[in-house]
Amino acid sequence: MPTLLQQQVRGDVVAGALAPVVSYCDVIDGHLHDVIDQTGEAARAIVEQLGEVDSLADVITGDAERLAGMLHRALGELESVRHTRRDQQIRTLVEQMRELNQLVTGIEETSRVTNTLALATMVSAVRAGFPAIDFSAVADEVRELARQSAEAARGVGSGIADITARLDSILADDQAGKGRFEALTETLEDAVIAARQVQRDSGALTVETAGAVGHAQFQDISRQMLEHVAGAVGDVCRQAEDVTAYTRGDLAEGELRARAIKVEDLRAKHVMSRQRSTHAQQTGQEAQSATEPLIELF
Amino acid sequence: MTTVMLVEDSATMLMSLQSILTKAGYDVETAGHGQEALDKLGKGVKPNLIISDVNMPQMDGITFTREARKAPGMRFTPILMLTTESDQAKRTEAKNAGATGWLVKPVGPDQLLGVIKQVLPEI
Repeated sequence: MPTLLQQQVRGDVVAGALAPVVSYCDVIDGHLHDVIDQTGEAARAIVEQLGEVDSLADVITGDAERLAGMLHRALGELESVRHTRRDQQIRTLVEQMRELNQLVTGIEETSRVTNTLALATMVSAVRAGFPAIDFSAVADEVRELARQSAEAARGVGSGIADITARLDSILADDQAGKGRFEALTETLEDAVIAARQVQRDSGALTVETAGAVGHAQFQDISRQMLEHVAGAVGDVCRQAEDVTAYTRGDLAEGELRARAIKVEDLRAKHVMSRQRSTHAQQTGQEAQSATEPLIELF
Repeated sequence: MTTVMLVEDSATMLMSLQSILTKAGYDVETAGHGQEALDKLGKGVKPNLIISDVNMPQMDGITFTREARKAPGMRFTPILMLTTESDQAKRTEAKNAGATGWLVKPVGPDQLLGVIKQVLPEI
């Protein structure tokens, strides 16, 4: 059995040991609210960015639908001409057009999946504590789908351009045929523009996804803020144990005073300017504005 | 291909940065702390650029920078510090250790890629 210290428990010593706990807890409270605000801001930013992804996926779906309509019309026009012109070259063009139609169907399907994924990720993002690993994997998947759309659109664009060129070549010596194919050529030209639009939108979608991935850095910042808070809570626990030990006669007054927590000790452990500013605010001190640039090249 | 070494103890940060850099066409090498990065340099990994966190277990980013500068062929390789740390004294310490720049987290993809383009020598 350890020997109990022969000392009288003094109320002022206990009060003195407990007094800093209040300001300590004020600062901890401020830091916890910082984490709450910080995660909220980041989740909102992610949701906003995913909203852009979602909108762009919608736009791509619309673009692909228009493209499909144009190709369908062009195919119809080409097939109607095929009945009047029996040459092999026109039959080849019809086959090529059918293949392009399949590509466009692929783009439509990809955009639909992108849209669903973006929505599912948004739902995850608004849930507190969503696992960043899932978010990142989904973001990568969205990006891959967008890349596939862009590649397919590029294929469609060059395919149509090729068909148009071959059509021009077929009709080069056929003035009568030229007139009949005029509408078809125009439709094909419009389809090329639409395919380029799908490409541009898919590119923009990947930029938005990259932005959303960048926002996921908030998890690392929140983790550091919470580790800081956990350390401070540990200090308060230790102080409570010391006071208990003192009142039981297991800890000398001098040792209690020497080990006592001080709110200013927390300041030395701050890493972020936000932590320093919250500390100053919670302890009634004037906050020093951060003057250092966020990016500095030496 | 241009290789960027990421030295970072946070798995989320690693994933986020790796995703941004890979998409931008960089080859990415990762290390969970300064000592691991130093070991990789010792084994012949030759990154064109290093992006390092500051506060990490085993070996912090500033010590790593100081040690990395002694490694063969690493004298002029750009080393960027990417950190939540905002203390001016630490920033100066990093500069004296041989860091090329200081970036405060979080950093957007455009900002990060912009800084990389600024510090990377034309290859």
